[in-house]
Amino acid sequence: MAMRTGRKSVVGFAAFVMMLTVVALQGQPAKNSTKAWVESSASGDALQQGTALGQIDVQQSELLQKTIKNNWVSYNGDYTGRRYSSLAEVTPQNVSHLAAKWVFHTRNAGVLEVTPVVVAGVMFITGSNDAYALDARTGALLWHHARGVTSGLVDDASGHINRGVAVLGTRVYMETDNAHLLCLDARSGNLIWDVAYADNTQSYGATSAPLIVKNKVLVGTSGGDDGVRGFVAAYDAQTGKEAWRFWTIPAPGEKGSETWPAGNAYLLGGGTAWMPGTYDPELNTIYWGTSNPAPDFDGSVRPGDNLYTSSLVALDPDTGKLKWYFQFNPHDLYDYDSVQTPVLVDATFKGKRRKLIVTANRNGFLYILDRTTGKYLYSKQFMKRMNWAKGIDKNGRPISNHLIPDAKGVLVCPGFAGATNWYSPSYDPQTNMFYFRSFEGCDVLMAKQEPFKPGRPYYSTGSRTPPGDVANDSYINAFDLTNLDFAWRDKQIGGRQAWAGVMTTAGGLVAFGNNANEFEMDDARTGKPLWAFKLGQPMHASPMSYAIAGKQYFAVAAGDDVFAFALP
Amino acid sequence: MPWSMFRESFEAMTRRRLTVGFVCFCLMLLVGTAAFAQDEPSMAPEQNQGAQLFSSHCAYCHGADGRGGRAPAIATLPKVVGLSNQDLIGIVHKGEADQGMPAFPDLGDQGTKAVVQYLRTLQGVTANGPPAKLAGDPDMGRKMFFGKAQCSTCHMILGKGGFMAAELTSYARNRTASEIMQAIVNPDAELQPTSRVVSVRAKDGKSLTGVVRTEDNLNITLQTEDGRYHFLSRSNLAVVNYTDHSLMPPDYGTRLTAKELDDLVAFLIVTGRNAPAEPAPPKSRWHHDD
Repeated sequence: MAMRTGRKSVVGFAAFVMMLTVVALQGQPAKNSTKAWVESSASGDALQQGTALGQIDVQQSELLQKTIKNNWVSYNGDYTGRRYSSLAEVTPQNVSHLAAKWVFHTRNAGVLEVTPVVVAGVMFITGSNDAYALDARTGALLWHHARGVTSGLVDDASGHINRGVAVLGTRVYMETDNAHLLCLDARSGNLIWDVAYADNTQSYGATSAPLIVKNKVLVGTSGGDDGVRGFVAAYDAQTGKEAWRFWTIPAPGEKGSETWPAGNAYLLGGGTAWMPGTYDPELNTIYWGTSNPAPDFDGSVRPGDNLYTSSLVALDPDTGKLKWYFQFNPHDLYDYDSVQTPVLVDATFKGKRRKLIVTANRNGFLYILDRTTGKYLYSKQFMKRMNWAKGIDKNGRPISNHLIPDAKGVLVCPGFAGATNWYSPSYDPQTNMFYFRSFEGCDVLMAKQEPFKPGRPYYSTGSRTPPGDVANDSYINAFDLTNLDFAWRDKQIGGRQAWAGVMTTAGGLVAFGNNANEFEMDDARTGKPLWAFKLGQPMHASPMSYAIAGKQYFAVAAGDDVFAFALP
Repeated sequence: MPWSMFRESFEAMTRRRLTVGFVCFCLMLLVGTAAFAQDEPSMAPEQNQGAQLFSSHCAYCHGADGRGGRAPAIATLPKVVGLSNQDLIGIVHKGEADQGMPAFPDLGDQGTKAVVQYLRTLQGVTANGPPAKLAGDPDMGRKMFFGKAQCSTCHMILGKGGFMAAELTSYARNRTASEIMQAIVNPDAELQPTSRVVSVRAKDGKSLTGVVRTEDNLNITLQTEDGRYHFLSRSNLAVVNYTDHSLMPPDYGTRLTAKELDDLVAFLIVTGRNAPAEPAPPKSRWHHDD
């Protein structure tokens, strides 16, 4: 249901306040016809704060914009996934004056993972199946679409995580924890349609934000550790009718099925697409990462490379057909999902200007691919104490050290939390650097064969922290594409492991959640910490930036709250 | 907490150790009150507790809306709807071994009653018994809604209609026919603060009229019929006039016949009955993710 604040106590109090206000002013006589109630006159400066501020009607041209400025129109801000804002008001010179502007408190089941979307001065956020529209300047609530959480969900979906909305026209789209796609009216929060796109009683759920490409809404699911068959699906943005579905695990007889054993393993294979992808309109290609294969850690029941798990798939957005794929972790045994944002970068590589994908993978390697063909170009180990692979061969395939989790347990670095994870990376074309958070944690991974039980995670194992291995280091890294080396690597101090991503700005800043529950800004070129604000809550989200009437804001979620910042 | 509520429930407790019952009751009221204080649909504390217990104990088999899944559709099966409250309490407490339903003695008397009451709301049964017979024709009511009465100009229902006014799909779920009728013919009797029409005149003389969606001492935000939000600073306004009405026409009582009104109410009630049940609001906890 959509509510515009429904608390009885608020209603009572506000009505009382309103009564006093009405008493103080002269009333106008009521009008008769419906049309005459509301007149929208040509307002003067006092009543207009900019062209179409407050008017939500997102055009395709807006979604296709090459620069992110006033609006942040999707989870990553634009189709490249580079999270680079062209706003430059806040700089290393004045960032010390950056101040909190407002806080919005959500009702939420856990720590917010949303990246806010802002269009025409209206901010859309989600948490635990709820959607909110806020005045992005003041944090005031415009509407709240409330939907209870689903019980009986398995694994990650049971945390009722939601990463945010997609917008097109006057509509807002979101996933729910039980893998429904909702279409809401952006001006009211009213529900237009609700489509179940996966069966949550079969261990599917959803935690992502949809991506709009042309006239379709693209979604994926969670459940990669729970014995589901992953997919990316597209729905008509107007009608909610399914347009296509790309299964990430081929069926018997299909190309790639030879990388799985015969039988029903493919139905439980995992490979879920649980994060939003990226899109290149010129190449008419969408890029989507897939999760690990299932069961985690026990590869004995799934001999073969297990395509297209732990891969990047390049699809035709009109048909869902596979154009090419690149598998980061063939026959993964360590829960190394590959859903990290495939950032689209146009840059010079080895003397030639190329269309690239740059991505830091959970397995501890950073990769550069050619995004027209999927050709592997380059990799660099970024995790310092890695032991699962010696390196990457010339075709992009890992040179494995053949660590096999067994009943006793095997120490694997990175552990199953990964050397990096879903939190956002960023690419800054001014510095030509790729920024991302990394983690040096290891795990002892154990495996024993277990049959698949519906409704239960399909981990086939357990893990434990290596004895004595307590405080693992985290880094914010800047990888320079000019010389293919790290420009700086800032070890994070604070002790509170954040799952918070980064963004960069034309003003010369890199912004991120640090390990002290703070929103921090560093000089993007040098990594020098310049400013931090104690949010006082765990950070599991990535920041964004927008502008209203020429003023630059930053917003980031922490705990149950969304915070906004701007210069005075 | 209201003292009368406390006393009433205290007397209702039988065969429980007073100290345990007292502590449990205080905790429940605290939980219920805390939950009520959050931004969620208006539910009495007992109802909220019932919803949460249903979600955690019953929904996995019977469905979040009681419409079945692994176990029967207890929200709609006539033989279940027809059972007395005492029968239902007994089933929850003892289980139905031959049907494969476990017993839930851990819910206690208060919890069992709450979960049964919540089941009744899923069944559409009010405190006074099964749903009353409808006076009007819901199909004619639907035609009215989208036709002569023009409700859909502002209201959305079942995904169709406007955006200026509240969505009505589950509006009638817990309301009586007479309450709904009142809301139609006397819309300004209980005016929501976010439905009020406000006219403003800026200091430069320009004026604007819209529905106030949010406001405080410094700002007021109006939404006009084109859907646009106007974020206004009071310091720029010379006059802010709060009318005593919403956008809704106040004359449906004379514009529509009694039958047409009954039909509209019937349409809303049937739609509300068939709307999916609201699952419980989220319980707070931290979570690591994939």
